[in-house]
Amino acid sequence: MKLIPCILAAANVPAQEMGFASDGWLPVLADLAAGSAFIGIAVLLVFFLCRHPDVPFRPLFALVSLLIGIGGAEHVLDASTTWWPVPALALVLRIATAIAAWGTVLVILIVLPRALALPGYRDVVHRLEAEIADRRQRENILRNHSAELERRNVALDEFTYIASHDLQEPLRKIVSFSELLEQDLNRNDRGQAVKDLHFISDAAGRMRKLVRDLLMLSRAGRNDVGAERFALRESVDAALESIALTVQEHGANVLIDALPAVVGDRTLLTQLYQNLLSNAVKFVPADRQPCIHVTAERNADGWVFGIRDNGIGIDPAYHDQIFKAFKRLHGASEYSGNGIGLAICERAVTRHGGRIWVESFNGGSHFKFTLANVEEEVCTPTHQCALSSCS
Amino acid sequence: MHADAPMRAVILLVDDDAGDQELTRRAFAEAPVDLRIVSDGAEAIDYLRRQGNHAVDAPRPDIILLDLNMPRLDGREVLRRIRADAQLKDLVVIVLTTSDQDVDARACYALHCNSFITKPVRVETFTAAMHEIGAYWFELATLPPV
Repeated sequence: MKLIPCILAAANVPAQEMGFASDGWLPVLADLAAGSAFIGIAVLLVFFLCRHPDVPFRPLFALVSLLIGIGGAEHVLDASTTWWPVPALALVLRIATAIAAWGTVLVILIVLPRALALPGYRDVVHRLEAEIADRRQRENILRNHSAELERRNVALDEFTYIASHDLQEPLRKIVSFSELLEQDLNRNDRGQAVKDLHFISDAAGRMRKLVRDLLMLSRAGRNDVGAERFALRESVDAALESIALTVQEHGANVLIDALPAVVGDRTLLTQLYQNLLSNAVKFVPADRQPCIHVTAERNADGWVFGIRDNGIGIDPAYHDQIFKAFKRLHGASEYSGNGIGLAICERAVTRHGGRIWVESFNGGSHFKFTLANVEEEVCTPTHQCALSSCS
Repeated sequence: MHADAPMRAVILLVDDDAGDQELTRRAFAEAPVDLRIVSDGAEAIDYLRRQGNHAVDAPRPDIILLDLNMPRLDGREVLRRIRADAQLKDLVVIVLTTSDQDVDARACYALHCNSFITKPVRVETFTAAMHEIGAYWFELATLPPV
């Protein structure tokens, strides 16, 4: 409480009693404090400039430091005139202050446009955010590319395996039985020669189908998957039309659920149905009438499509590997097929962002698959193609 | 032929390919061999255990010619089951396959096949290979006593 009167009293002590030329020591102390602080600021600014290489407008900062430093020196000089009055030095300092101040004004005028153009904090943050988003997107693209490369490598491995094994096999038969044919013809063994020819044409037929299916598999794996909007029922109908003869030969009944419209590759999806349907017809024992159900169910996660048959079923042990190329579970003589059909199906479904699997039950299999882009239901109600019903 | 061996050696061919069955049949046509043929791995196991359609007339084979890629039960699994069966584990099993892949050969030897042979392309070589197999196992080598 008594601090202020005390300071005032001290300020009024005659300077002579204190040994000072002026009329109080408080202004001197204030000058000294302000001067040393200014010099301190100037030194710290210069230190900062020297240590931080990224400060923009360095000359301006240097000038401001100089100005503050000179200002500080002026204050110190003011305080010191109490003991050693040096009017010439004081004048020099004042002129230096004026020069430095005007220099600073000029430099500010020069750098102002550039300073105004500097991005604000928010700009920088936005720009950084945009850049991070852009990089993330690029990373995703890269990741997708590398997954695609991986997939293609696997496909290439499969292709090499076929070239080295599956294609060699019929070729070996053709070579062997041609040689035997020659021997048999030389011996005039007509019966055996006809048998040899049968083996040759059988092997050539298998090779032809293998090459055709390989081409299909390669097409199914290519990048350009169509994105056409169409009723899935059209694919089923086209597939049924292409295997009409087989369906007729086996006297198969086909039941088709109402199907929605999809966005995808018409050719691939038709191929998918064609393979699944012809498998369904083929893998029914000769003594049983094939009953095929083209299913479509809508569950909580979306649409599940499928082909259900009353055939021989598939051992659960093989449920995963049947979709790998060239895993044939049945003998060539018993059921025709080279094992590429389901690999094509797997690829067609994967290319449409879906997955394919099989469920086997007593007396048949149910191949099921999903597709990524399925639209609202548009198609016909449950429709029976054949005359009699499936029991 | 070994003194203790039966008059006609029994060879069991396990192969699903009708062409290969015919080629083998013709290769052994003039040899004193009783060639039995089954079309897949499951049938081979039935034959060896004398069950199913092979309950009667299934003489124990002296050697088995085993294809690898077959429906139902493939050659590797047949080999595994033979080696795990106390009654069958001594059987001579020769893997006869279209495969020329190292990985297949390694897997078959790991499963203790007696030999791994890639089916020759030329019919003459194929026939010669079959005769060499016969000559080696029935004349030079001593088969495991029954």
